[in-house]
Amino acid sequence: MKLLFRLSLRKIKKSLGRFLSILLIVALGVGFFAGLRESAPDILTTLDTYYDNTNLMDFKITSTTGLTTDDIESLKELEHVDLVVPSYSLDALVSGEAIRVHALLDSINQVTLKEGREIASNDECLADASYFNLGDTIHIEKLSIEGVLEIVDYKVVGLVDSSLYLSREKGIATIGNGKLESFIFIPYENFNSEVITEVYLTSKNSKEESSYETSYEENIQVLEDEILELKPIQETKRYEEILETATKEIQKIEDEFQVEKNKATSELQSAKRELDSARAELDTGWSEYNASLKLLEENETSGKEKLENAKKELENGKTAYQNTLNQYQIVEENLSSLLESTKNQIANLEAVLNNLEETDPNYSTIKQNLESLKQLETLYTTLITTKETLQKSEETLIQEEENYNEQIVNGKKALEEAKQELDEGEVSYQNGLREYENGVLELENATREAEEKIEEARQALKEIEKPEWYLLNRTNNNGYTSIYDDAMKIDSIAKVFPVFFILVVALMCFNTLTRMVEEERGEIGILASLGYSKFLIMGSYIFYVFLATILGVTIGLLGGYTIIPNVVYQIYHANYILPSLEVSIKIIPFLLIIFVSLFIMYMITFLSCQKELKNNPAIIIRPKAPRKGKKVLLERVKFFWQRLSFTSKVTVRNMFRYKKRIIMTVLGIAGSTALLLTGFGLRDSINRLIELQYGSIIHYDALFVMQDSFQEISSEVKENLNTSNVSSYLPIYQESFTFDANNISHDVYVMAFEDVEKINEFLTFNSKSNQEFSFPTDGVVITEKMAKLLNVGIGDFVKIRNSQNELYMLRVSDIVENYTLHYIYMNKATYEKVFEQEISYNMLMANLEEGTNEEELSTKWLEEGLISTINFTSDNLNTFSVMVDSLNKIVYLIIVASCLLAFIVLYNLTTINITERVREISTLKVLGFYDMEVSNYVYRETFMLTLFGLLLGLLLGVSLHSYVMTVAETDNILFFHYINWYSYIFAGLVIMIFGLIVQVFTHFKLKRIDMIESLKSVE
Amino acid sequence: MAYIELKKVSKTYKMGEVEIKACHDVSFQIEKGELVVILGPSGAGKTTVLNLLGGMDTITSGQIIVDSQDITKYTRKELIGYRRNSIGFVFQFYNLVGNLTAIENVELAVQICKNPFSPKTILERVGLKDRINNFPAELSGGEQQRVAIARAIAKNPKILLCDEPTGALDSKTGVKILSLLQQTAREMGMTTIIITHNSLIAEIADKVIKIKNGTVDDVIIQKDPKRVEELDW
Repeated sequence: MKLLFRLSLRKIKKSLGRFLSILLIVALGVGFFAGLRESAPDILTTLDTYYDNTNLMDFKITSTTGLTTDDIESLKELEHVDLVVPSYSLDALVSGEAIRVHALLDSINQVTLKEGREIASNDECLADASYFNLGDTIHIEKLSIEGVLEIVDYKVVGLVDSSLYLSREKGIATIGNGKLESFIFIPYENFNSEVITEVYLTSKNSKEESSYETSYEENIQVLEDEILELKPIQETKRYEEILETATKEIQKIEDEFQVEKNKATSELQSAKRELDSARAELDTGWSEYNASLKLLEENETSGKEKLENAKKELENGKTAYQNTLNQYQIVEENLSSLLESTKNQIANLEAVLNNLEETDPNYSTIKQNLESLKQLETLYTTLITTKETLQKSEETLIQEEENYNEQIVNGKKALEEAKQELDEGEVSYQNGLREYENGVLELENATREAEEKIEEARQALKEIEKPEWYLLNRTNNNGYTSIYDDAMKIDSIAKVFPVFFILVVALMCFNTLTRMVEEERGEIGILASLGYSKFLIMGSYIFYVFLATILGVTIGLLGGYTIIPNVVYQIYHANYILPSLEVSIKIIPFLLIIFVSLFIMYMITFLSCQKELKNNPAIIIRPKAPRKGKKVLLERVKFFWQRLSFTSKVTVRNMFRYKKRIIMTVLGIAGSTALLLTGFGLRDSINRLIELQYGSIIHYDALFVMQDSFQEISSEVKENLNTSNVSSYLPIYQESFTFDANNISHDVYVMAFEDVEKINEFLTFNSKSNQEFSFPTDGVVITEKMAKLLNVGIGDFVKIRNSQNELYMLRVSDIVENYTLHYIYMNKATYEKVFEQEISYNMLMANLEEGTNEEELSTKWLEEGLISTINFTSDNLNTFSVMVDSLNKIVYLIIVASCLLAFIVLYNLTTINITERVREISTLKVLGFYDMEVSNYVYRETFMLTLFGLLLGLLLGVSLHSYVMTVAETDNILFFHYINWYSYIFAGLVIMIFGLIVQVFTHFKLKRIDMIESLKSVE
Repeated sequence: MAYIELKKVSKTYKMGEVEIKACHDVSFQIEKGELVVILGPSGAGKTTVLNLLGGMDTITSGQIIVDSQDITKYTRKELIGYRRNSIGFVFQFYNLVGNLTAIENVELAVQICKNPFSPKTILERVGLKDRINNFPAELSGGEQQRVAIARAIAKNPKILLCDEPTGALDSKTGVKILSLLQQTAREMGMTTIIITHNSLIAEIADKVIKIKNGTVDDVIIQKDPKRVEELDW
């Protein structure tokens, strides 16, 4: 027993190479197997711990109208709720890029400080470690809701990772070009908002469950149900509240307006009254003026007349007077003197007369004279008097005329003044009137406007949409789901690939052990002849193998558990921001793997030993008869055989000499090649999928998601389209629906459009029913994968549900080629028939001119407020290229694994081949074969087998690729099973290169063979 | 000058710390066409001398001249060429390639030579006309050794080296093999060197070189060597 133990140890010492090769093969096989299997669980555990440590929310509620403290209180009362944390977030423009500004919370969604320190004052912030640097100053240029932040300048004092942002793609922003670039956290107190923008919740005991597990989903489902129950209540409450506030507001506005209006009206009225009295006054003034004017004019005329008459009378007097003068030939100037003289004559005559009697004859004459004289005297006196009178009259007349003139002038002047006054009064009256009229007009306008406004407000009130809560959970975090999907992809690949490894490893060990037992046949024979039992002899081998296995498994598991998940994880770092990986070595699988490995190795050892030990010692102790040469089947084909060169014949014969080796080589190489081809093929398929989906199927450049739905494109939009490098566009309606297949709900986009001809500019439909596609006038077109999931064909019906859970039945008229997501296409008429409503478009599908700056376009449209966002096809392409990049790394991993496998297989087989045929090789050397000739002689068959394996592997690879694609396929992706022609060549070349490397190794190994030693004795 | 001349040839093997002198100051001469037997007990160093002469091993000191060429100065490649074109080997255990038929084993050697004989003719000559398509495992020991000899002489070598060619054969078969060798050497004028510990065989040689403890003990030239058939087994 002790001796056998020592023998085992000596065996190890003697054939350390072989021992190590078994150990390494086991380590490699187990390492790859365990490492790949543990990758996904390790990653998911790490993520779960990350979520738990940062207290990642289970739910987030936002609302179209924000949330109130009442909402918070109601949420807190839910039975299964643990934390309810109100918070704020806003989108902001910083240096033209959109970033999200979050309130920093202590209790939930905690950030991981990578560098720097915590916030100490309210103008400091913690910022995205992948985007900002310590000490950066951030100036917020614009906010999605203005006025909420007073402080717009922040200093980056700490760099953080946030479990809210796993993916490097941060998602969609409501500002800027619509792409969210980064995030910052600022003090909660900085937000100055009436309503809470979001509430984060955690479910009771959700931390105890592992994220991504059903138990977690079940846990949060309870809370989700509760929230969904509360949701309509709070929504209605909030709606009524808003309605009430708004109604009150309108009432208040209306009242205020009424008061204003009344005031204005009464003011106008009094103004009117004043104006009226002014009018009256003016009118009186005018009539008075007119009367005065008339009177004056009358007076003027009559006065003039009187004056004229007086003048005429005077003239007449004067004429009469003059005539009298002329009659009597009196010179006016002599009149007085004449009178005097006459008077004197009279006096004289009287005196004379007095002295004479009447009988005096003279008397009578004298008396007569006297009488004449007296008459003269009267005449003269009268004349003088007349003259005087006339003079007086003239004077009076002059006076009178003067007076009259003065009177007239004065009257006119007074009237003039009165008129002026009146005119002035009239002007101010007119002004007043105008003012008044304006006032009235103004009031009318103001009233109309106010009424319109109130009416509008009322209308708006009617149109106020019911506030809607959006319940989001972790799956809405960018990266949360996709990293799981990615991990699952690794897992499904991990399920397939190691099988090859294990198979090859087992075969390799079997081969190595068989060889070892064969080599030590003599020793076994001696032990057997000495009477050692089979069990003991086998024991020395089992000890040898178990030691190698245990060491190998341990090294393999430790290496595999630590290296491979980390490699995979590193690959993920390209797309995600992640904490460092927690490598867990689970003891039960560990022991299980050791146990299973030991069992397999035991079986292998048993089988290898059994082959020799079943013979009796006498046979064992004798050297084994050399293997018989045998003609191969091919030699019967004389025509072919005769054409082969001597060396080719030898190669063919040798190749078929060791059947086990053929199987091993071909299988190993085929496995490696298949793995390689699968790796390359994975990449090809994804590339091809992108090419097909975003090259030949979807070829529109952008999808404008409009702010408002429409039936006709508004002129404003048209104008913008004309100036936006948009070469063609088509209004479409697109909405997300769901359908159930195999008890799983899937999202599907329903797309409807009017112009079924023009759609060809944006999408290409390739019917899967092999007929020329024409858009059906009736019924809908569904995509391939959806048809597959539902197992429906043309003419069948599909059921879809909208967000209100309303069910619609659609008849399938055609099925078209499509690789990502599900779509249902229909024309306008079908839409209106199915949904019983007029179509209202919500998007524009557009093709852009070459070289359009998409960012500028997006920014322009967002600024115009016409769109919510623009989805660029190029962005989708970019997302896919990132995916392809990470896939490339997995391909590299596969390449490394396959190459290792290929190398081990080739090296091991060649080594065995050499040791087994060392005599033959020595003979060749003795015969004078050059080193290269010896190498070729030995290696040619391996090379041929490698070629066979390679060809078989390429065939196998196609199936394996197909299988892996099917396993890795998710429900919304239809993989195109495609391998590029040069991938076959690459895969082949890689294997050939490894073949050549092994050949070089072999060459030197062959060179070192000592022909003398090998030829000394018979084996 | 002799056709083959060994001058103070020594070979020392290093086995770890220990140095083993396989042969020491071995000197002898062989003329062209001679049949030489190197005679000595097991472990005397005969095989070492043969290996050195056959270009299968390199000497520690001394000189080996073959056909005016100092083969000790040959490079590895030249040595292989020397083995290829100048030397034919026959081993105690035949060293046939098991997976090749008799004729194929001969062809294996012939296909790389400059002026070989036709394998078929040679096989007929060694008396295996009916066995040319048999695998070694289907042949008796004597037949296998005939194939080995055929393989060696088909190369048309300058020197035929035979290391205990009858060692694994019964005496009757051994005689036939020796006879074949002697006959070939004579008829083809091929310089033939046979190693043996059997002094009886020495009688058929033109020259017997006795080796003892790694050095030449005696060189006997036999003017009238016996024919194999005359040997008394």
